[in-house]
Amino acid sequence: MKRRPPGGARRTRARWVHRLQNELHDHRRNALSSLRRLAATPFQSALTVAVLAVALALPAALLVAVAELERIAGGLDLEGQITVFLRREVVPEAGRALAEQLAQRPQLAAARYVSSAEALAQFREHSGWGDLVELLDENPLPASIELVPARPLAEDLEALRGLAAELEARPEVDQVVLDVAWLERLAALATLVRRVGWGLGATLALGVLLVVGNTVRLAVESRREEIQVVMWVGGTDAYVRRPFLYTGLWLGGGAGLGAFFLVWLGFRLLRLAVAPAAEFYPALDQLGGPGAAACAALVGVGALLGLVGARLAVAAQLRTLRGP
Amino acid sequence: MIRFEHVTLRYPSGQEALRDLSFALEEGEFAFLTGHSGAGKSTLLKLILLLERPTRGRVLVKGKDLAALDRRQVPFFRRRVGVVFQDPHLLLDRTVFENVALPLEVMGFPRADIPRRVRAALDKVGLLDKERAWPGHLSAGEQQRVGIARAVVHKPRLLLADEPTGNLDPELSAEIMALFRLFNEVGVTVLVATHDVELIAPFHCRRLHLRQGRLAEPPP
Repeated sequence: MKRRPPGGARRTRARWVHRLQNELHDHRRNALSSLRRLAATPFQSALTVAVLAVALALPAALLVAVAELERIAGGLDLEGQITVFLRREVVPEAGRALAEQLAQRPQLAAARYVSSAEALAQFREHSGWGDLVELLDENPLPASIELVPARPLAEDLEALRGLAAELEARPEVDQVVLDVAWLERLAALATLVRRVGWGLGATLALGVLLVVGNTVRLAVESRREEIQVVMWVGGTDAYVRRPFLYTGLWLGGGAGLGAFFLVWLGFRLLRLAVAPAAEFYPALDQLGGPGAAACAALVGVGALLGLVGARLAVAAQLRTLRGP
Repeated sequence: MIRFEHVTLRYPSGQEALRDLSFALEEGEFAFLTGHSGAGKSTLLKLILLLERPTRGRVLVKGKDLAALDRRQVPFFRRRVGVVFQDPHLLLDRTVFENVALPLEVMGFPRADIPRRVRAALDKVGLLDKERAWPGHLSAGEQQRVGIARAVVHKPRLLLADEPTGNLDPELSAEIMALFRLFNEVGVTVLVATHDVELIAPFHCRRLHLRQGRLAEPPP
């Protein structure tokens, strides 16, 4: 019966292709029948998917919010946030020369020399305390150089801080003011929210595993007879597991899609809510929402969690069915 | 084909189902396994199917020690054995055809071959016209015959049956036994466990009689 016909290689290949076809067919059959079984109890399945979707949506919303916050902050116009105050004894020519020299730095887009007279004129114009200046005998304002970073401040913060320290060490420089406290606070807030998001994500991922695991456990329970027969006639563990893994995959993937929809809807509503404020804070107009990458990530993470939850549940059930 | 060497099986409760049991069944043999219920008949069959493992001793099938099979290999070993139970364990949400096709699907037979093999098996048990029927609509005897078709559809060399006629009247039981005989005639080794001594009287076959987990002389 096992005689090898001539042309063994070709035959081996044919068998290999045939096995692959069988395998693919079996996957498709299981994928569809799992979906049908879920559809047979639509209310129950929808409820499970909804619970999972909410669990995934909460951390996802936080993480998307942080990403949006950082994106918007990074794009804000931050011109004039760095000012280099020069010592009194530095003559205007030397100041201008330094400004020209600084403008060559790669981190900077421009460097403008502001003489003490110009500074006083600006103060008079903008501060509303112009009359006060008349009382003074001499101009108290120092000359300065205003630096314009080449890239958004948030992206280049470390390099600019280094530059500030370097300039402060120069003899002609009195003080460098790098107004980044609010940026640092924002970054700290973003880090905090992101950590909360991940922590919540890890906790809720565990919840997803448990919910999927329990659903799959019930599914295995209701098909005990079938599994028993399959094992008697020589079904491998993989064969027995397969339909349940697909159940987990569908539940998890569906939940990921549902979560994406929830987060998307949330940001839509948020945009509506902030629309009146956007008149005064134009940056809010840039508020987006979860994109295609977030959708793919949510579906992927959901499907993976579903698969793992199903796998754990089936493994536990198989142990009781398998015997010694 | 089957060889038991000093097999003892003690359950965790301390109860001994089989005690120092040794026997051999040759290839192509037809044998009955008799004894009262609780004598260890089912346990013996479970050992051959690897549904139980012996506490002591060895079980060999085709010269191979079953203890050497690890968990991964067990399914592939079971594919070489056909098994019939008292309750045929048919899946009620599948047609007769689908029930019989199950082992072939599990084993990954070419899909194009499945209908032909299923019909050949149904033909042997005389149920070719019932392939589209639901098992729940069949009589007990027909259900058992579907179970037998499922057990032989992949042409195993060894067929085990545990009280296959337990739920059937004498006439149907005789039919089922005749079926087993038929498979034996084409070379399948058959081992049938039954407590129904009258049923097997007409068959002049080897008889393994179990009493309290040991081989014993059958009562006259």
